[in-house]
Amino acid sequence: MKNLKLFPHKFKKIGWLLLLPNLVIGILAYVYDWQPHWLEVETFGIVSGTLFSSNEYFTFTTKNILYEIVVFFGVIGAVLVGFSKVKEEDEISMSIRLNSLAMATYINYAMIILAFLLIHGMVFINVMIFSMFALLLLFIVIFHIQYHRFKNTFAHEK
Amino acid sequence: MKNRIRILRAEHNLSQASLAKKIQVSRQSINAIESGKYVPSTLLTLKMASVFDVEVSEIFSLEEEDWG
Repeated sequence: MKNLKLFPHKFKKIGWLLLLPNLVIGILAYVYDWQPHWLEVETFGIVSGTLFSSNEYFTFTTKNILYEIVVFFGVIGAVLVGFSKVKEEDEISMSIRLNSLAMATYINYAMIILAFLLIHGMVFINVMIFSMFALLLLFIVIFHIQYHRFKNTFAHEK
Repeated sequence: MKNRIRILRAEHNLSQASLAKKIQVSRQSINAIESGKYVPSTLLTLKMASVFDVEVSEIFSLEEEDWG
């Protein structure tokens, strides 16, 4: 069985530089409902539609592309953070990585199922937006906690 | 699973760090394997055997509880 391919270690830093600013901008823009006017541009869409109109296919529409930018770079950043080699990559760091990914998947879908059962109506769209990032973010947090715990536990020669 | 890594390291006058470097893992990983907290892959055990110039079975051995 071939091992999962990872990005070189230096991509981890690039990942953080992409993820953190886009995460902060995304959350602030969402909370304060803020979108700068100069990002209002004509964009191509395979499917475009609003709540009150029927879908249009293969059209150009004018819209604010703040979220497109934030999601594009934020997700690339998150993937680079989670799947770049750690400084001393070996089979234990890989095992911790894959375990963390599995644990994040459990938690992610437990939250989605709970939200699905308990949140009803249009507000559920917020759950969908949240779940776009939840798996990757949970994975990154769990992996870094677990890896640091491993490093600390076995730091001293016994 | 029991292991004799600490004894073999002493015999070969190798620190955890220098063994780690020879088999391309982190020093913490050697520590985890040595204290029985992590079961290494076949590839890694073969690398260890090659460094110590012994058979794998002279480094690792099964215990009763490994049979579940």
